[in-house]
Amino acid sequence: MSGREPEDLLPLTPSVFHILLALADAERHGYAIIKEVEASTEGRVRLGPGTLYGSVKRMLAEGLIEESDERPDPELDDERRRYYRLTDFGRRVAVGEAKRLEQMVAAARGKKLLSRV
Amino acid sequence: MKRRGPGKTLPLSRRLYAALLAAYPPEFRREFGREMALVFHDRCRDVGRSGGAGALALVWCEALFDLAKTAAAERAAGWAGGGLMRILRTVVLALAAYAFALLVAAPLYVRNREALPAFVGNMADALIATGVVFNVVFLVLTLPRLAAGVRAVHLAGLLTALLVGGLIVLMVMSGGPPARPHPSVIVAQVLGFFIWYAAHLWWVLRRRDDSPPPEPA
Repeated sequence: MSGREPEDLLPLTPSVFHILLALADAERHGYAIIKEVEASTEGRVRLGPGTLYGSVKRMLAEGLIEESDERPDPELDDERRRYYRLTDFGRRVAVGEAKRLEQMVAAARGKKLLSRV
Repeated sequence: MKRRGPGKTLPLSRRLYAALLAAYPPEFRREFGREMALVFHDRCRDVGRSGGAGALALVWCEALFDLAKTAAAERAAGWAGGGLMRILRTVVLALAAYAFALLVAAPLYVRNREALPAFVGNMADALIATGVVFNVVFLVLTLPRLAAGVRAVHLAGLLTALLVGGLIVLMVMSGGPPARPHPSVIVAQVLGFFIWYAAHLWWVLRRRDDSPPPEPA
């Protein structure tokens, strides 16, 4: 993955960006990612298993996320689940996409499509 | 009518969804199939607790839509990512094998067919007839990954039996010569079918190309 800049991958698909956001503060397994995305979008985005793991496959290949070696306490969770976490590159890509969206929102505000906060 | 409890619906949903994962390419299924079945199981469990049967039906609708959309995308990605070259290579090899059989083996066979003992000749006919049909059907099923591994062999066997058996029945009903095939012809066809069936099964098991995702506990 060396030599690549985060901008090379922008813009991200909504699913990929939602997954990056879900993993920004903690490593999670598949269903936890789905629940986090659902909670953060107030139920507007519900990732299906196929959409989630199709994105996960591509994100692993792009080096945006990696599988975590650590497993939670088996008493707290099912240890067979695979947990994923952001890579440094994935975090930089997420920041790049967030800035890109921020600029677009600012442009929309400039055109008075959105009210200023 | 007695309502089915969630205790029975959940394992049924899980098993059905795990079976539907066959729509994805084998390598994707091997990598993520178990996790996907787990996620679907968790979703059904949570929704079943809070929303009942209606909510569960909605989860199924969403899952089927998601499956149809993403399975097609994964298969298309497989074709684009080197899958197309693999398919072309297989088709060229198959065409070369058929061309060799038609141009070299067939004339030799036709010239010497009458010299063969009756059952050996019938056996050779059967191996050729069922072989051509079985291999073409197997190719049509496996190249676009409509089916893979042992499942593809079973399906190809069923379709070949229907095609060849149907053809024999049609010939008998049409009254053309011979109106009733000699029993040794039927025995040879059945033996030929099982020889091709066993050959494909052996080849597939050697490649171990069919590993459905283990079901979540």
